[in-house]
Amino acid sequence: MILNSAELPISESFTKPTWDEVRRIYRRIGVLRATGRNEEAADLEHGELPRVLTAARIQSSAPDQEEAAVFAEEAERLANATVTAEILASLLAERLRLPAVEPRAENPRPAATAATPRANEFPPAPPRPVPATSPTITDLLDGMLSQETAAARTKPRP
Amino acid sequence: MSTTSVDKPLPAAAVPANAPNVTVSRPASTPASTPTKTKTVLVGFDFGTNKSCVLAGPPAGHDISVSKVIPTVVGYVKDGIVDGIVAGNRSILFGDDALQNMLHVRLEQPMTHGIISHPEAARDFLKHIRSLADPTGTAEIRAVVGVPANATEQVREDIRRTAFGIFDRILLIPEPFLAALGYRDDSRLGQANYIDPVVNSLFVDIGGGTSDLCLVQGYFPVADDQISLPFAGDAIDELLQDDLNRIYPNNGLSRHKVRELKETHGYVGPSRSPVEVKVVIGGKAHTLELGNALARACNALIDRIYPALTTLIQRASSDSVVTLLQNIIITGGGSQLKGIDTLLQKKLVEDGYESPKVKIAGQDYKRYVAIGALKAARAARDNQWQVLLG
Repeated sequence: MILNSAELPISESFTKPTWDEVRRIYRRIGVLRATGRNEEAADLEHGELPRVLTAARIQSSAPDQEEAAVFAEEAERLANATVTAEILASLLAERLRLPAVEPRAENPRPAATAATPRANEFPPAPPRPVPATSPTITDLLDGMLSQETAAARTKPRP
Repeated sequence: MSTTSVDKPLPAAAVPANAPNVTVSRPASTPASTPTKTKTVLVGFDFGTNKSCVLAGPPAGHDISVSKVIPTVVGYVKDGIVDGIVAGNRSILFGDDALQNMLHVRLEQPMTHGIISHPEAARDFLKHIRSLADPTGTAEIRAVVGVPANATEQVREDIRRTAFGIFDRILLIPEPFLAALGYRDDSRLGQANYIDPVVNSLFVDIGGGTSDLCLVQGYFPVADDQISLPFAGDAIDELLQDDLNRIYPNNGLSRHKVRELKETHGYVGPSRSPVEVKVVIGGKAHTLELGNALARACNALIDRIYPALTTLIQRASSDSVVTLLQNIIITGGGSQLKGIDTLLQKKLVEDGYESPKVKIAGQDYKRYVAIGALKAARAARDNQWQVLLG
């Protein structure tokens, strides 16, 4: 049997992100900073990173320890990667008889290393007008059903 | 897709636990009742992991014909029990009856962490709920059932499948939202000094299997307005029992007894040691010091809930957040942990939130979800109900 109009909106936005996602975004921030794309790095750092970090912390049994471990490990990986890149760049430049690339003065680590985002740092919420009058339950149910319908339409067919 | 309708209910055996998805449809505008079902009974049902609440009544008016809180447990009477030991020689017992006869029954919990984990027991439990709401067995039953916030489609489908042939029409609505509807004082709507919780509030519903948080801001909450954590009363019981087993090896305390101790003495915040409790173990009275163990176990809940709470506060619009902070309401069994409102409020103040007020919903904390569910059932139009089809 096939499910039809009962297909409901299911957001896994809060449960899906894991520490792996935190690592991925952290590394991305590091790469962006290392390549001078500071604005994009800042966007990620103040937007996506706090969101997934909070989600991961909530799912964790020891959030503080796990967070500290993840950031320490990723910071080390980024530092190692930066050193490797500098060595490789020098070797390649010498081999290609090009001027060696100067090591970047800027610390490639994302600022999150120094100031780890906490659970209360989140992207600004989209404005949601709160109605001045009390809504009827029937109207609220209509809202629920329209969400279900929208979710059913967007759900890919097997 | 079959066209079988619930208007011809199938026996339980016709719907095996591994049955495929139950098809639901919404009638265009007219009811799909069979001629044999001459009356309709509305049911508001909070299908809790440890405790369930059912309210039932007619579609019109405000009368409530059934209002019960029932431990969510089914007891299957063991083979070989002598006649007369179990009242009425019943083969299946429910709730308190099952617990009182635990020596003679195999106890099954239909739910774990807010989801159906034992389909057969869940079906039997729902049949019992139906029999309470409609002892004649002839009415059309329309039930609004609470589900955890952001319940997955699978969780919802499991409930529909379980309810198939028992309820005729169904609506599944997130529990914290129903709690807000239940908590709303309809007689005060429109009063200048009354903040309608449905217009702007943050509900924290701490149950046995899940803690559910929901921004309720005058529209039906979207997924980002809700957070469900698989950490609630049961998880506290487990932590407490582990700790007690470590401190007092071979203490012989059952999980049921540990839960009872938590419900009587549980608190959050700084240690209130000593909390000395007399228990009978192996027939002898012992005094256990629970203060630190209770603090460790119960504070673990705060560690989980607080980040989720601030997450939802941050997601509220800047226009609404000041009023929202005045209307943070805790309900469910977890609301009875001593000091939970003051501790959460203190943490918010310390983190710089503007004049937050965290309130306990009150003595009806076990019933708000079901009250809201019955209100929703009474407000739902015919074409808003889902009809379960085989």
